[in-house]
Amino acid sequence: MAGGDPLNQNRPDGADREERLLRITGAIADGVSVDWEAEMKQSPDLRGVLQRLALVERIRNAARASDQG
Amino acid sequence: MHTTSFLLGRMKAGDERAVEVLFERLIPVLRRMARGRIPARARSLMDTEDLVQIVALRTFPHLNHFDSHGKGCLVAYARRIMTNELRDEFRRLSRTPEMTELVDEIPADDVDPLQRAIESEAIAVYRRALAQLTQDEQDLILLSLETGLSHGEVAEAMGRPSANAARMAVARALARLAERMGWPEETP
Repeated sequence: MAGGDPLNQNRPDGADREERLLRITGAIADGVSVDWEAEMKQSPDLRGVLQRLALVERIRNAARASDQG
Repeated sequence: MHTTSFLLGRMKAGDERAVEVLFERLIPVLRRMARGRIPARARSLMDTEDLVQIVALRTFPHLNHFDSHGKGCLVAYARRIMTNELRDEFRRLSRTPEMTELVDEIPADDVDPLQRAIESEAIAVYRRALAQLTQDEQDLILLSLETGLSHGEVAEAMGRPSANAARMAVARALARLAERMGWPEETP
């Protein structure tokens, strides 16, 4: 998935892909835990981007922990 | 509501009201950033509000020279000043030589050195990817993820019409961030 807009890959399933990705990034923004294993099973085409987002979620959690510390 | 870039432009054109609006927007963000950051040993000498005032006073004189269209962003700039101030405070307290910034390390339950090295590299990748986003996207991510502002607070700080609009903007910025990260290597 190198280069390009992750939300518009000019593919027939682009809208569905966008919807799935924004549902997950929305959950991160909301502070809701994401079941990464389930998401990767459900969306193997998004595996790479999901791995990165899992890291972003951990960074968010670390920031929250630091806030409370 | 106007964007930060617009307000910086107005400020450079001599609009004093723009300075006031920037100040009103930045102070709550600084308060959120400063909360819980002051070293325990320094709390008798400095409280959160002192730190906010110091950072605001050090940030605003430089705004005229701030490149609102460059890679840096106002929030990131203020955050660096706050980090430096806290680092100086640690040094004044003399026991701890250097402060570790908010997300330079992820607290882990059971981390071996290899795992720590991988995560350290991953965070560097995150920071490099963040720097490649637009100023607006960087601000959205810093305010929401790292600073912990609510969607409503992000909307207010970023001039978005509603909390939901801010939430969607953060979600889109995160999608772009993940694309820029390019880590880990894609597997076929």
